[in-house]
Amino acid sequence: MDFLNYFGNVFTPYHLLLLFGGTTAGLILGALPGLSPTMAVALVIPFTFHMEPASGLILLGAMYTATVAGGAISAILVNVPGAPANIATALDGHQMARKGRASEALHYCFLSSFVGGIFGILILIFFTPPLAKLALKFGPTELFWIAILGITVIGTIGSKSVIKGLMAGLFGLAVSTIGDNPMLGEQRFVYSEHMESGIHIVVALIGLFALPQILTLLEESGKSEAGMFALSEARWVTSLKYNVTRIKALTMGSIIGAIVGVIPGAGGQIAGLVAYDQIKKTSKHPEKFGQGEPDGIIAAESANNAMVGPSLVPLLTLSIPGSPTAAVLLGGLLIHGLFPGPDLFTVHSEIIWTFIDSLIVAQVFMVVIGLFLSRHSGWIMKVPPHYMAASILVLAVFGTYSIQSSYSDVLLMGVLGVTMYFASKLGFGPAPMVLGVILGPIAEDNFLQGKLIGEAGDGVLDYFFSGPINLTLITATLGSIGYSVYASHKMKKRAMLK
Amino acid sequence: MIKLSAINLKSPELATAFYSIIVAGLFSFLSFYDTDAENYLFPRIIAIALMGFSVILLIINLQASQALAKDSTDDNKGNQFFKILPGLIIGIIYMALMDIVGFYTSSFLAFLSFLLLYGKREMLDPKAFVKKVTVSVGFVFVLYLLFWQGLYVRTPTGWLF
Repeated sequence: MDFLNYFGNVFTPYHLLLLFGGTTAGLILGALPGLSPTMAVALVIPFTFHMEPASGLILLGAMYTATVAGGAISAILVNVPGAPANIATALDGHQMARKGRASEALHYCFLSSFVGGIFGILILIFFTPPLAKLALKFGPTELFWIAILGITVIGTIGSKSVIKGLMAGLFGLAVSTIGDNPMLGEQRFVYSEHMESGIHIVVALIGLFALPQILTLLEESGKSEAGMFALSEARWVTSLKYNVTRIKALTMGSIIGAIVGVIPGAGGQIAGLVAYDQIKKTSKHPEKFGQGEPDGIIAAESANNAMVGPSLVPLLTLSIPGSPTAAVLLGGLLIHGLFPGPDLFTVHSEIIWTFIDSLIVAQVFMVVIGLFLSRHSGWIMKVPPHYMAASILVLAVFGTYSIQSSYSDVLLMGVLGVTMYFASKLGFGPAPMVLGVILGPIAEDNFLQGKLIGEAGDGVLDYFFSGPINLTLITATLGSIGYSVYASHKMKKRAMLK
Repeated sequence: MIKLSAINLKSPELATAFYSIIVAGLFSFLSFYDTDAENYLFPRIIAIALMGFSVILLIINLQASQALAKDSTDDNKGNQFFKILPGLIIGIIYMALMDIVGFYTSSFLAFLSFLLLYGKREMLDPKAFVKKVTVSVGFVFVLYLLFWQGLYVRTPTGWLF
């Protein structure tokens, strides 16, 4: 119960101010397409140089917590996820917003983020040593199968047709192979200088989501000048009461988020998607998902935020970042002279427990400020489509350029976006394609590593198809595809009977 | 069994399957064209899977197209394309200009162009024009204050900033 001793350090006026500022800025930055949690934390690191280590970490932790939740704001209101982690939230969140239930959707988002976030931090506090051991059990083959599972999961939930979803995931994987081979360092599919560095995941996220959304808004412009959608006011207490009754979605999301968060490399990108997939498959009304089902938001957002705490477990104990943002946080720790490892909890116990305690308080700030913003963010849905399209275009270009200060990224984002717009007309969804781009390097890197290890040992096939974790993941992948084909067939049959 | 005479060649789903085969074929050609098998191992696996799924999609859609008695092409598609065309052109010019004239100037111009070309036709109304210019300047200025001044994020300055 060491963590209880350091709560007093968090409740100083200076630290509370940092938490408030970090959370507010994180929610706003997180809501901007392209400004992912990783980038938001990276932007703030220079401001922590002159702070005490505990203060700097409090600011970084507050930003991390809030940007993950903030990404859902743009996912719900404009169908452009602020970060890859919020892709699943957009599936039902934006549909709710289109039906005039934007503030209600945002309430579910922040309330379930809070529940998931607190659960994740409690996991970090109480289960750090055993989880660190679990994280070490994930070798190249396990990570390869996790990536494949992630792609099949989104492939089967992000599109109306299972086969088109899987194909979109494969197109994403194909796009991810542009640039350097991760093992050999040799270039592939580079036909212009702009393609030399490959395609950054955030460039793909912005291009595939934001540009088709801009073009769709332009299609809609002129149809309704007074406002895009009707708005109905929702009271947060009513949303809270409903949220509390969704125990299954909250529990499933929180547990899946915590498990995925602790696996190094998998990151929060797939936590929300896996949770969404599971809650949909176990729901009595799977057909309601994608049409504005609150359980979809609740499961996805509780998973995203439950991932935050456990993603710090391998970072703090083994120096292995559980997510890209955790990797940036590692930089934050190092510049303050804190070297992750077993000593961190003994030599620097005061700093590290103050940081972990501040994450709990940051969750409280996040839900309070988030609910306040939900009340006042519904006006976004009243912004005329062409104003919205213009804003998204400028933010998308800005967000893309600022990732690596690369003009090539802006051009690639444009090409990907226009291609996605036409592909979406043919029934291919952006979510599986983005996930293919994100998980492609993880899949390829670990596939090639596993192949090398397998060739040196008992054989490649044996290495990839043995071990309890590998077999569980392969079964889950096949089960996910099989169930989706069965469910889609059943739904078609039901529709034909009607 | 697929009856060739019953296939509806104008079916959009069938067109989707053909486009998929073309893209998968192109990716397969590019993956296998280079002889460096080790470098292209992963793309080749993806290409084979992609081609397999494209063929399955084609077979499924060939069967489904027979069930469709009526041609379901959408006449509205052409109109939609002409509606988004000005936006596409603005976007291309914006991306081309941002490195030359600067991010903030080109952003202002792109933002204003969207507001002028889309929405209500009120280009000759001075009041509406001033409102649109003000909104465009305000949006870009907030972006400048937040990122250039507040977070020191640098964007291309070009000739004009």
